[in-house]
Amino acid sequence: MQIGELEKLVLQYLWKHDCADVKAVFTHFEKIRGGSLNTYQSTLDRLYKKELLSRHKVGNAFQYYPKVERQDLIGQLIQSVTSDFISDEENSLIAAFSSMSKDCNEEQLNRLEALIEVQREKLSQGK
Amino acid sequence: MIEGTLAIVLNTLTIIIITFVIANVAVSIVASLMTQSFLTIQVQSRKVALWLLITMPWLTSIGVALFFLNGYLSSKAFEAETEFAHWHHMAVFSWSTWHGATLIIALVFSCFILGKKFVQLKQHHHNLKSLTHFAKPLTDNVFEIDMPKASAFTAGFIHKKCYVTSGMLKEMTEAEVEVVLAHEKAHAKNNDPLKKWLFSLFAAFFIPSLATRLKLHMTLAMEQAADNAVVNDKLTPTFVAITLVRVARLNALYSPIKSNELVASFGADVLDQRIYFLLGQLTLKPVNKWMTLILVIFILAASMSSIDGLHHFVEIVFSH
Repeated sequence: MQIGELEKLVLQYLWKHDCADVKAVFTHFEKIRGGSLNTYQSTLDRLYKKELLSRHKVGNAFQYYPKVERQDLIGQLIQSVTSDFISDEENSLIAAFSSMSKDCNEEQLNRLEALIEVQREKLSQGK
Repeated sequence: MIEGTLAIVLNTLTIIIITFVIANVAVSIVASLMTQSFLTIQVQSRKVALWLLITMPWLTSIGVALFFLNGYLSSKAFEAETEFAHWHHMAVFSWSTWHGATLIIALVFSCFILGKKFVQLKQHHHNLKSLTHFAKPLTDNVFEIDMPKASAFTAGFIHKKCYVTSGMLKEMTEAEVEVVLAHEKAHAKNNDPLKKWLFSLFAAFFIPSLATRLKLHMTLAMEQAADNAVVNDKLTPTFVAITLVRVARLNALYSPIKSNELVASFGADVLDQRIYFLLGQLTLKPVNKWMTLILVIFILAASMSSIDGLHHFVEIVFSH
């Protein structure tokens, strides 16, 4: 999913205001960054097609609502970017500090911590 | 029936494909037998050995095809059918034979693999671009993502960027964050995102279970190299190790712990290996160069000598 700079700004506006029509969005952004009513209409349409917004008609205009929360969207993006390269269906393009470490269990982590502690003690005694 | 230069090109491509399949089987056998011994090889040597294994079918098939082509063009070697390696009909090719079918199947399969990988690459690029829009620059090529879950990663092929979540910055001490960022910068310096993608592209031509195992070994080697790059007078190996365990604990808070799946045991092995490596508890040796050379010669000889045998074997079943 590709989200452009203007799309991000419009999403942030809607996360803050819960719902708005194109006129409200245009009035807000016209002062900050210019652009025409059509620009914001097509931005809202694109976000709707990407299933990031929902809408329903009130009178002649659509009211737009955020369909996903900010944290959920960022979480989805991180998930898709960081999916590990071990599995075939997933991406393979990142290098992560915690690569695969989420699959460890409590017992294993305790054992490793104890091992590191023993090593630390050995080193401090050797000094 | 195609004759002349085009037939030579198509026959050469067929030789490449057949050799590729034979070399792939030979490499798969060698890699399956060696999978545990990879863990005893030094990190840098292990990386080289893995690259050699994963590219071996390509190198072998191109090498053998050039050898056959040279034999045909020079008209000196391999003229008689009794020779060690030969191809009966270098200047004649027909699409309605098993050679034609082999060529078409290989072409379709290669296009499928390449298409899939490039679609993934495009999606990844879009997602990363979108994620960067929501991230805040911290320092040069380091971005903070507003997210409670602790995570840090490096991405990008040419313009490599390191990402760290606000959850990680909040939960960890300054020294621990220094370890995480130094580790990510080491990945960026080593071009690991690009290398991982290229490795997975070559691995896609192997059977999935073996490809997964080879990719796991490469991931482990890359992680160990990045862990090692962090260690200095101030950041000791034990401190880097304890930071690694701490991040694993933070991740476990947000992800359900898996214990019975294959992936879970992979993950557990990787963390164990990284900690043992940092604590100096692994006896790692350089790769045995003579053994490697013997294996390369064995795979090359097996591929070259099997071409004719396979050719005749297939023709017992199919018409030429």
